[in-house]
Amino acid sequence: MTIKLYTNSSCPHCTRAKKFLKDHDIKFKEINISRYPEAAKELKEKTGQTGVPVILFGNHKIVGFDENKLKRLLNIK
Amino acid sequence: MDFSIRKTSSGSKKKHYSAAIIGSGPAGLTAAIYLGRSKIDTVIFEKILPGGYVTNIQKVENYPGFAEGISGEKLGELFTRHAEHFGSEIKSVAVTELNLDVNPFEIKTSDGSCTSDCIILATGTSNKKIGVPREEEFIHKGISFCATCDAPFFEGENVVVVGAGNSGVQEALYISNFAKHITIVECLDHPTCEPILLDRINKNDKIDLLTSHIVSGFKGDKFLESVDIKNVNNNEIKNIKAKGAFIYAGEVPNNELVKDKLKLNKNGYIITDEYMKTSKKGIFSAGNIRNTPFRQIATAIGDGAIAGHEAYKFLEGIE
Repeated sequence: MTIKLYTNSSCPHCTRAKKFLKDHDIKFKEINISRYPEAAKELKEKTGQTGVPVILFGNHKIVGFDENKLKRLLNIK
Repeated sequence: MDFSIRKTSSGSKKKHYSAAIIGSGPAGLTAAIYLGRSKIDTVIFEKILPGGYVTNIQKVENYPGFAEGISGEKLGELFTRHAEHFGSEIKSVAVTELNLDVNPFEIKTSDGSCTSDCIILATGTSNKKIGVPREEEFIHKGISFCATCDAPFFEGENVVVVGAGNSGVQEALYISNFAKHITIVECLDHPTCEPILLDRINKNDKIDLLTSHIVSGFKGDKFLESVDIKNVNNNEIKNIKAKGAFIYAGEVPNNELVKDKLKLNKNGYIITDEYMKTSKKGIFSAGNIRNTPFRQIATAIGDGAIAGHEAYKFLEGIE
C-alpha cells in the first residue's frame, strides 16, 4: 500500500503528520506543494479541499492531521 | 523544607503529578521550564502541536534575540525542547474534563485520567470566525485560517485577507509569495498592525488595504469564487473575485474546560491577579487565555514565568 502525504514546508500540522508516520515506522511518499505547485492543483481536484496535510492511501483521503482516524484506518494500536 | 520529594518523573503511565499544565504554547512551556528547574514533577497536555499557536506563524520578528526573525515552527520547537530538557513530560492528548472540586484536582483526557496538586491553564485562543453566510461551507474550500499551511493552493490567484492586525498583515505578506493579488479587508478606519508591517504592505505591489469595510458573504459553487465586501460607512456592497480567503479577525478564548468553574471576564478570558492566580486556589492561568491587555509571545513568556514560580510556591506552601 502506497501512502502519499501532501505537505507544505512551513505547515506545523504537516510536521506532526510526518512525525506520526515516522514514529510508527510507516513508509510514505511526501509531496511538498510549495515546491510543486502543480501538486496543489492536483490535490484540490482529487480531494475537493484547499488544505494540507492530506494523506492518501487506498480509497482513503484524510484532510488535516487526525491522529485517531489515522490509527483506525492504518490499524495502529 | 524537603528538597527531595518532588523528583521529575520519567514514566509515562503515572497517574498523579504535582503540577499539570494544559497547553504547550509559550506560556505553558515557560511555566514548565520554571517548574522543572524547581524539580517539580510536571506534565504538559497538548491537544494539537507542542509549541502551540506560535507554530502557525510564518515568521516571528518581535521576540527578543531574533532580530532577523525566526519561523514560528522553529521557535515553538526550541521552547518545547527547553521544557523537555528540564524534565517536563509532554502528553499529546486532549484534556476533556476537569474536576476542580476535589483535592487533588482530577484531569480527564482522551487517553485516560490523572490527578494533580495544581494546574496551570495555558490553553490560548483560536482564530475567530467572522460569522457571515457560507463561511462554514467554504472552510478548506478556499477559506483558511493558516497561511503557512495553505497559501500555495492560491498560486496566481486573487486572495482576500480579513483583518489588518499584525497576524493578517504578516500572513498577507507571506501569501504574496504565491498569490497574484491580495486585498486586506479591515473593519476599522485604520490598520492595527505595527507601522513596520504597514510600510511593507505599502511597498508591496500585490497588496491593497481596504479599511472601513467588512466581508459580508462568500460566494461560489464547489469552491470559493468571490467575496462580498461591504463599506461600513454607506453599506455599499461590492463583489471581489477571489479564490482564497484567509481570516485573521481576532481571537476567541479556549475556555471550554473552565467556563463554568472559574471567574471569566465578559469576553470569556480567565480573570487572574498579577500572580496568575485564578478565582480557585491552586489553579493558575497564563498567556493568551487570561485577561491580559496585550497578547504576544513575549507577554505569554512573562506570564508563564510568574505562573510557574507561583505554582512552585503554592506546592511548597511558601506565602
